[in-house]
Amino acid sequence: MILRGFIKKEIIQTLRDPRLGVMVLLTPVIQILVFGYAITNDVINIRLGAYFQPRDVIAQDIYRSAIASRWFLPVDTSDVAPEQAILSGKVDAVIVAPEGGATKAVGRGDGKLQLLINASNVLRARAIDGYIQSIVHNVCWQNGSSPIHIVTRPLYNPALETTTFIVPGIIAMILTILVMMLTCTSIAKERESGTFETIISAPIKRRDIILGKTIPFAMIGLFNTFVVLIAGMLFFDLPFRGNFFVFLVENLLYVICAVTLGLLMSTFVKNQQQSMLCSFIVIFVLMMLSGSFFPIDNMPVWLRWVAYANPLAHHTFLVRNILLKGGDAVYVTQHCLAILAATLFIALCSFSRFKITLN
Amino acid sequence: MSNVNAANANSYHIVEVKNLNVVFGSFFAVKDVSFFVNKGEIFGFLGANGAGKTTTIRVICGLLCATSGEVIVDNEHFIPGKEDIIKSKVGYMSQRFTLYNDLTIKENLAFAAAIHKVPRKTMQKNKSELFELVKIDRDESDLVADLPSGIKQQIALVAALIHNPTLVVLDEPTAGVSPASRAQFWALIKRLTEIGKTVFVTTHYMDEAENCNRIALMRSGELIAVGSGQELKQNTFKQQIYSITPKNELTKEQIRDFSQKCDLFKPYGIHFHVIPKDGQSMGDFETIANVENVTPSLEDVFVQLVEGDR
Repeated sequence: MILRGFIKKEIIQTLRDPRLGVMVLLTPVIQILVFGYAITNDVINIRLGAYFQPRDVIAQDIYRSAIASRWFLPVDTSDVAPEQAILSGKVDAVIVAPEGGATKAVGRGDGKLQLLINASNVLRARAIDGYIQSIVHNVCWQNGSSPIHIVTRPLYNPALETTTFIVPGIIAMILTILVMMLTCTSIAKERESGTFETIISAPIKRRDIILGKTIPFAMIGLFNTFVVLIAGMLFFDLPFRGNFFVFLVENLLYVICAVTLGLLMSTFVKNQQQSMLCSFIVIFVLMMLSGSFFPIDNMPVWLRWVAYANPLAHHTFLVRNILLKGGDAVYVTQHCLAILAATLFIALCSFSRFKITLN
Repeated sequence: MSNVNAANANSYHIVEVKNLNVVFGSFFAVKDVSFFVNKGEIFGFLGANGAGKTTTIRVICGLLCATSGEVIVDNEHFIPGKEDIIKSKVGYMSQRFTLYNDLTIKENLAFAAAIHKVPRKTMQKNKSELFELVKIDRDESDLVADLPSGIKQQIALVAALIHNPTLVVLDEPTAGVSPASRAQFWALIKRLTEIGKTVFVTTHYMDEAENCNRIALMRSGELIAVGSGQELKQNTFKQQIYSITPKNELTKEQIRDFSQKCDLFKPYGIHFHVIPKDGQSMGDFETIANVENVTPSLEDVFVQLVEGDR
């Protein structure tokens, strides 16, 4: 009897609040969609470049077989050096034939092929190495040639440490979770406790409230980023190969994006409970589509576009690029512009929705 | 109502509300409300829950936009871009003493001063004057969460007054505090008018409403009466009110029977306040109860005007 009363009351209360009801019903649907589409460990759409002589038949066979396998996408890298092609993000891996060509080397019995891989994503790097080994083995077997030894050079993470790949993603995520949730919950708390009424009864501009409610959390978020970064460097040997100033500016840009997102979320919620649930849903989607855990290139094309609209994805790319690769200027600029565009769009939505009346 | 307005036509109206309408969807929260508040008076705003009191107050304080109508505060019209001028003249204390529980008294007041753009020196001066006026005897480093509700109420009032507003708007300021704190708070409200403030207050307590210079009564979003307590009583009750004290407990049939013979038949503790219908003598009552003449209270007015037509 007592239990029935409790259960009935809780269900009624949860479903009677329309926002909470929608969130509760929407969350599992979003989760199943994102998990279903985003989570796959099959590594595909690997951008592969190659450096070999036009008459190097074996190298040509290997490259053609790789493309035919459908794991790889061909990329023309003739205009750029192998390492630069990877640094700029043009390719994920390149095959480099030895001087004189792979065919001649195989003929001499010391067939070697160099494979350069972007190992800032360890899981992807390991898979690429495995695919190429298998393809080369098959080509040799089909041609009846002597075996070719693959010399793999994992760039930016030579020891293929998983933590080196995961920790930059975690840094990006922590900043997002902290800043977004703090901003949204703080505003929801003001509304719930009635202090928002007191604030808007003062001769204060909307701009002042927005800045007053976001700057402190942006500062906390930025401070925390460096705390987590130092912890990552101390405990997980995380390298810092980029420019500190570039890293600072990029984080500042992203933290502004995260607070505006928190502000936008706050315009949809009325209390802290709704704020927590809303934050949970948004953060979940942002994380899953950030490339931190599951490569964006593996997602269906439509979901990839959604992921590219996700500022956390660009921030994660940048944190990895700056920390592990040293930060390619073009790459950093491109992704910073993507974050800036997202920030402007979110800020526009937040400002138009954030009211300083109770209407 | 119009007579009362005319009688005060020569006073300076610090608040003027003209044909105010506030509509939420198809619901009229406030319907064609017009009244004024004289400078230096305590103006009481009474009504049942949902009568539109808080909505009206929120429009006056600039928290809510009116659907139509005009609100003038200290000669300033509420028009886009001028809200700040009016807001700086109004000190608003909402129903829930909206202070930050996790901040100290000092921090709460510093924040209130900051959002009202009060310079530090002015804030210190205003604060010490207000502490003296309110007679607060607490350490400023005390957390608000640790304060009893009576003190919270006083601190909330100081926060509302920190920018030295002309008009003080108090939305049910004594809800949820002890009777002793209520009495103290009303003494404080009177002191505010002595230093030149105008107080606009809503309350549920009829005994408190007796302290107001003038009172407005709201019902279902409409203003049904405005005037001094005395005027409201005289206008509402043209006839004598009697207090009857039954010698024995009345039966349901007797109560029903008496109700039908009366324009007013309202329990009042162990007594009943009664106005017999025209031509009805008090003789019937005298057989079973002691009958006395009484002066009507504001509660009688409230029951008659606000709840009478229910």
